[in-house]
Amino acid sequence: MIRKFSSPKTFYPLAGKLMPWFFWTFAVLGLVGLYWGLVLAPVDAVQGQSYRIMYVHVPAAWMSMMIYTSMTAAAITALVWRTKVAEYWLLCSPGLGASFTFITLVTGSLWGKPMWGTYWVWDARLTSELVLLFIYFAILAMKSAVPDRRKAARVMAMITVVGFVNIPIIKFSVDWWTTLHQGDSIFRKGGPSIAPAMLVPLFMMALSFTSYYFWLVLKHIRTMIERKPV
Amino acid sequence: MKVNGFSFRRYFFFCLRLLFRQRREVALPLFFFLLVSSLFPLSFANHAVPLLAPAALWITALLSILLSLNNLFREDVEDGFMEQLMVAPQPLGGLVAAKMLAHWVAYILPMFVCLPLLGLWYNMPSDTLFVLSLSLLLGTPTLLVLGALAAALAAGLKQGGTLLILITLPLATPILLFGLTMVDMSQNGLSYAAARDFLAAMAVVSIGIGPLVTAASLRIGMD
Repeated sequence: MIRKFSSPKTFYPLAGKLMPWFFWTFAVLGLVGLYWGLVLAPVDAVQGQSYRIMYVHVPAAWMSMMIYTSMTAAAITALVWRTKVAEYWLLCSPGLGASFTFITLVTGSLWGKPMWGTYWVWDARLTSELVLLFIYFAILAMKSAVPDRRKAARVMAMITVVGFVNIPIIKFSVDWWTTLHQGDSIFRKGGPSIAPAMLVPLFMMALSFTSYYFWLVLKHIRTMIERKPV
Repeated sequence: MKVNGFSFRRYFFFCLRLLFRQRREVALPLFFFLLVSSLFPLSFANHAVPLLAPAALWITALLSILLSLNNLFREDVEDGFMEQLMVAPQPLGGLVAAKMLAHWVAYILPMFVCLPLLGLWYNMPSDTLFVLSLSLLLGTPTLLVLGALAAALAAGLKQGGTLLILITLPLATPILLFGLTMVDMSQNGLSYAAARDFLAAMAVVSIGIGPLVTAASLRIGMD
């Protein structure tokens, strides 16, 4: 199954069919979610208007981890089966992952200044997210250092798999340590602690960001296939 | 233990002998370790030194290990010996394991010998010194494996040394943090068992699969 799906010959037309779906999900949900989140959603009782930055911050943070997880899956596939599409996936993801991680850190800092009174603290959540950014940078550095594309992909795959240790650390950092960053308020025991009118646009933004990533990755992989015909 | 005529012990002593013959080069990372460790107490006010000591020593140890790892595979790759090892019938994982153990003995063990001296420099109480040594003892195998992995991947590259540091530092951060948590806990009179067990678990995993993963990385790096 993996072999058939991941051969560029099957993947190329399939990606072409999927791309418009991802694009329109990204565009429509992004616009509706942004308008709903930034304008229609009620003002927060404690945080006032500044909570609205979460409509960018939270989806970007999810993306930073989701992209890394998808890269790990691609890395294992690339190392075990040496499939080309998995290698392409690995080659074009870390740049996007680093961007989302950067957005997460910047929006978080901007929110932290009015709420916590500081742009940055060295608490477990913030530090592990920063480490994630550095891991993305390390993977990108290896990508640019190895001239051969297929070899670069496998070198990146090794680092990706080892660096995956950091992902559960980010996810559970708010449970394992006492952090200034608040704990989970959405995926937790007893259901989300956010009002639906605020939660729905958040999910729209998350879905929009995810579609944006898939749209770009598919586009990128198609370009790579075109540049080097199989 | 012999597989295809490969004796772990013989190859380990072979590596050790090679390292001993270039002992001046082997001493450089240790010298770096001592030099940088002396910079911290010099540059900070006296009352800040004990507070700073564990972190300073951990970071310096991490950096000098990275410095030493630059030599782990580079010469073998450059003079073609590594290619011979790869086509040899002996298991590459075993050869790498012996090499890494020799590296630990030659480069990292002397650091532990210097630790009591550094404890004096930093006015460290003996309890703290003990926990710090224990945390380094449990942490260094994982650091060595992470660094060896990066060194294997960067073996044939031009900027190998810089890349090695760039890759290893973010991956090594959790080890550094848990090592310092251990010392911090003991300084505050709390139980440091959780951090110690985490480091020990990581060390066991690293020693178990590290050489195999490093061998696989060498094959990728030499491709």
